[in-house]
Amino acid sequence: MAATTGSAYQQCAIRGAGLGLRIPHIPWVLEHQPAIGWFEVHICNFLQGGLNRTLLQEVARTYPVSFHGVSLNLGGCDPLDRDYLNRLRHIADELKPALISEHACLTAHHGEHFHDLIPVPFTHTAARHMADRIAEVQDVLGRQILIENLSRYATYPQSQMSEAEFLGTVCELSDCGLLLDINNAYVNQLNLHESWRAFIQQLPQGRIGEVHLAGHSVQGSTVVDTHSQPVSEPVWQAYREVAASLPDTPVLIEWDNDLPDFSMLQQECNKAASIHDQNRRQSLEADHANTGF
Amino acid sequence: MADAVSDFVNQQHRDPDSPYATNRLASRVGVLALVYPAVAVQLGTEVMTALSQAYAAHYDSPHWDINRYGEQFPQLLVAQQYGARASHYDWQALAALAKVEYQLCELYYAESLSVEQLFSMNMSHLEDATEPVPVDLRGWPPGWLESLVQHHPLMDAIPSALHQRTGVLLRCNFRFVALAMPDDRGER
Repeated sequence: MAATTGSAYQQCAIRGAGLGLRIPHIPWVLEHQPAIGWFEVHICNFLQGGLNRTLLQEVARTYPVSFHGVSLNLGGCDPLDRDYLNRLRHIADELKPALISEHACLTAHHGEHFHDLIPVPFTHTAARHMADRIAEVQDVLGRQILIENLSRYATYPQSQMSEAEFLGTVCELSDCGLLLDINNAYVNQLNLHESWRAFIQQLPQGRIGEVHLAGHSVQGSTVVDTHSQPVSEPVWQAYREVAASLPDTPVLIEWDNDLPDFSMLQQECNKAASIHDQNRRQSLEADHANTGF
Repeated sequence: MADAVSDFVNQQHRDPDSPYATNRLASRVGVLALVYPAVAVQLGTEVMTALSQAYAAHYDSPHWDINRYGEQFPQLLVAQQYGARASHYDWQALAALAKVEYQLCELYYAESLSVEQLFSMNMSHLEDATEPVPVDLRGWPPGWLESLVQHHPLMDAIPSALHQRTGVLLRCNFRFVALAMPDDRGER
């Protein structure tokens, strides 16, 4: 992959490696304030208010945070939920997250919410539809968002392009950024025989504003993006390649199910930080060598 | 596009081997396990799983907030008093326990219910209590309150959040949270 510089998303306040912060760990984090560069939260859990939001306000006073959503239904056919969107804008205005991200998918259809990430057909119509909705979201929020590639377990016969071409089209039409989930790309390679490396190479590199790493599980004949395991070695290896070409892009460890002690997550985060920081140092050294300073 | 999506969703959700069908069921059952852990302890894994799967099969999720799912689960428990296991459990008491567990989640996730409302509805009898809190409360069988304290995942988070919001320093024990709230007297 060719080295890329100048991404607008690299100007954000978060650097290096961060960790997905899950609710059972929040009291411990607030009490012990571990050395983590930044935290990403599933913002849907905090939009209704309640005591949970009080904790997030405290986390945001101590750490840089990013918001990651799973309910905007950007690819869906049901109308955008204005109540959800207004709540998101309100909490974003209050806590000023470094990044806001969502998924390039649908999460509801005909009024049923799946609490799952369902792919859309990779067609020009669907790309325009998703881009229009992202543009509307960005107008309400007054800022760009990132959209994440999915782990997929089935394909649409109607699709007209690859996932990377679809995401690139959506980004171009809506001027949003990309959240590259390497584990999702790797899971798609195992299940759908779509090369993770080819997928990443076809993405518009300058729009990648964040990288996600997570673990997967084997269920029967399918590899499932369960977020319940350590990051696998092939995904670490893929991240080393990505970090070499995107040395400034922040990286995040996600772990959602069968949640271990925080120390285990911190180990994973430290490993990601080590790879990120090494590549960033090498990049800076190369820049200095090229400029003579 | 809507037709393509409908076909895809219907096909995947009807295929028992599809990960999308598995995820749909697992997410609903998983939420019920998180919301009703003390009920699950009383029922045991086998019965809780069977009831959760029955609920998940019949109740779609109408809201984007997954934490709202399962509100009618107490009614399903009450209905079991007319079922095959009618005499195996005190279904009315289990439904009461389930309502408290759901309200704990509302307290934590939703602004619609205040701390004071929660405790006035369910824990007002604790206002006059002194340590140790009696375990036989509101007709609950002995040990159920301890079970709730021990197993509900929000038992650590709620005292922490209350501390952040009110400045009241509470011990990580739900009984002390309840005792602390009526007069807001601070650290005990």
